[in-house]
Amino acid sequence: MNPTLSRPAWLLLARLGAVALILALWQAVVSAGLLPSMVPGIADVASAIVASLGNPLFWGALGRTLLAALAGWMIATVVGVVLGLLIGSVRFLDRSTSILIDFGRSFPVLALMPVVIMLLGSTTTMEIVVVSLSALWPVLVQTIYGARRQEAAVADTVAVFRIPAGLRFRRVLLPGAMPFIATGVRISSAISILVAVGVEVISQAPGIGRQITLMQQNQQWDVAFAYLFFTGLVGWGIAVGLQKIEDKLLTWKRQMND
Amino acid sequence: MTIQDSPTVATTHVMQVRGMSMSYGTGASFNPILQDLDLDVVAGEFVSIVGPSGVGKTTLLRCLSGLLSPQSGTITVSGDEVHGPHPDLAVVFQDYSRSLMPWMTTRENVAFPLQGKGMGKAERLALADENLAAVGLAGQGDKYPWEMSGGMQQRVAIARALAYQAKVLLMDEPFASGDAQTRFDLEDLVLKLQHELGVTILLVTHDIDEALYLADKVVVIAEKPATVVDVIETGFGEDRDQLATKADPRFAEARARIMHRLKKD
Amino acid sequence: MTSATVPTPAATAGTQANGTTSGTGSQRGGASRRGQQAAPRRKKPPTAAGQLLQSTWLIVVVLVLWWVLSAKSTNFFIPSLQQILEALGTDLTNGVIAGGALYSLSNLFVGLAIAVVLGVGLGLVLGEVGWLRRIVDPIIHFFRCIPQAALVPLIIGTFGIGQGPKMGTIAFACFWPILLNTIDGVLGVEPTVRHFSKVYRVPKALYFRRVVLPAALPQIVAGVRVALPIGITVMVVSEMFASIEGLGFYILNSSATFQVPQTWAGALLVGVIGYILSVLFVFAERRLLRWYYASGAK
Repeated sequence: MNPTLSRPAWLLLARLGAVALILALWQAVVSAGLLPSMVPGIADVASAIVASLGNPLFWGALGRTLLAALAGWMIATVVGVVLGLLIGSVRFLDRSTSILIDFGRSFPVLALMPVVIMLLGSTTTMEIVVVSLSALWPVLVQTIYGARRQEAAVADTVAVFRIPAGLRFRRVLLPGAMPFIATGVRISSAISILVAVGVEVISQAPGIGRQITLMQQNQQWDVAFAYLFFTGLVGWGIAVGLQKIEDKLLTWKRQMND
Repeated sequence: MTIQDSPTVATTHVMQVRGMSMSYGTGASFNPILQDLDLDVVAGEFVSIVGPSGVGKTTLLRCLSGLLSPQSGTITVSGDEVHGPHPDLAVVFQDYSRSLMPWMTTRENVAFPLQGKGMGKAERLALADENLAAVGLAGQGDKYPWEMSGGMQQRVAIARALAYQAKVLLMDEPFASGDAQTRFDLEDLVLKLQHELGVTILLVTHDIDEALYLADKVVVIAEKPATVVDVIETGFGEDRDQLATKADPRFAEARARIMHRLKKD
Repeated sequence: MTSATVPTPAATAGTQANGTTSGTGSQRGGASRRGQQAAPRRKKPPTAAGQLLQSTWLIVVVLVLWWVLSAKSTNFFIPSLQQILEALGTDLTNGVIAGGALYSLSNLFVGLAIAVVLGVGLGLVLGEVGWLRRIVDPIIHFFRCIPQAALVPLIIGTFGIGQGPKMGTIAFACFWPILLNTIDGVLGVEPTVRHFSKVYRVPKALYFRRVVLPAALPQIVAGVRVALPIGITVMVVSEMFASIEGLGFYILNSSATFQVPQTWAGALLVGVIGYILSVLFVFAERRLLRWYYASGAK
């Protein structure tokens, strides 16, 4: 089997076959009545997916979720990178903040959501706050790590040539930590979407997560599954896209590793 | 061209070290490294500091470059007592491939310290190109360090130090890695640059031949803690050749003297 | 396949969703590389007491500031820290929280255990069987990218609000990072070890149990560490979505009945539990993988 699989066409065919197999299994289980009756069959979900494509309500909800996720993610990235470079390059700060950061990053921020709702209401602002509080930690932790492992030779060079602090921050610390920051930012993007959807599922904040809940409560199970499919698709697309951007931006890193 | 000393300061000391001592640790783990070291470097001079591996050469260089403060004694550069990196000093590090920033092109690497000095963009890029050309890398400014061989990377590091327009260049085992031919080429390049630009060079090395071949004055350090055990004026003049100079009887004589010094401990 | 690689547990101190563990730093508190590489500087190493002071002063400052500033709060929704702690104390002693915590944590652990068994089992198979792995690779990555919280309404809506569906949702969410890391762990097994097992005709079952599993263990553990916070998040979401028990329900119910200090107390408690679990996990990992750290394998 191995040699044939190395041919892209065969691999694609095999993959399509695997997807078909899973779908067929699902259909079989549903048809046999092994699952509760509300679980929709493949045909229903497929037609709901197609119908969603022409539904402005769907696109609006998806757009709101993505915008909230994007806003929270960007806030988290900026705050995380600036704080992270500062903390990672000053050993005193690094030691002082270490327990707080460990605490923060193991904190399930969604549990705080009722508190944030009390303060801000079930609004998009609340959603953005919760998203950025959740997405902050991977960026922060990665940036600290990246700034901390600055090459000794680079540190000496910067000292000998008396590079001022601002320039050092911008041209040495930041690019040096960039491979780590990129990883943190990529993880944060996944968390942002996860949390944005999560917030919408359990609060009244508008978006695709809210729509999934509403559709499920309205017994429109096929639509709910279609929306779930789209959230996965979007998450996948963003993950792949960011990986591509990262590869392009960090050519120097890849070359160094070769 | 880029660095010019006025003739009037030709005989002044650009660098002077008096009674420098350095140690690490206290109590049981007390570890003296350098003991009562003196050093004089005259403007335009090429001084080699030679000593066996592990004698404390790197500590010495870190003290001279202002990265470490010695416990006692004074270091003056251009008449100022040194308490940190001095603007008249530039360093070419042993670990050159790591001291170049991989995210900058070679031109940006060379221009970077000038940006720190507050020089305008056009000016510093022009200066970078000029110095890249001086080390034989004309037209290579857009390459990244990792696209270059080790020898070429070292040339970039040298160009960066030159462009900084320091009066004194400190070089820490700059040719230690690399094959023999690359080393000879780099040595001759450094000699040529020194004569053309009149810059003062202080080279730290464990290689006796290299120290002798390049220097006007060889300072031998040895013992534990390290101190200056000998100073030799080489007197080979400006025209040196890898074969002829090394075949010179004075070369062999100085070489024997240094080896004898180092052997005695 | 899996671009989401996880190098070593030491290099994966954290990170949540998404299966990737990233290169998140060698454990905090370890000496920085810079400190090791550069020639020693003159600064004396801080004493143990100094280190303790350095790592705790900021926490004390934060707590004191919180206490002082919130004491004067006139905002109904921002109770004083004192009120929060009192509410926490009351409900901790009268068993309200204890019951909820037991419910929540049993969901978490059962769900996580299912995810570990299935994820490791399937991961070992996919790691060893290359052609199968290449075929299902896109499917795995698609499922991994579904925001786990979106599953909550569907699974709970379908199967009801009992404990089982919650455990199932947690298991589903935690399954993917564990699966991906197990696959990577298997792929990282030294070829020499593999050849050795072939040459000595080690039986398949023994080979999996005594060779592949231990070799992949560091990666597997890293995967579980990634899964843990995801599991806690899904645990809370599932209880806030539909439940009459558990910590998530406690928080939501407190907020719905305007018991503000209780709401804060519950949220903080979940945070503290999350922290304690992650600390315990790191501790357990150090013990479980002692051979790995001791051998300096990287």
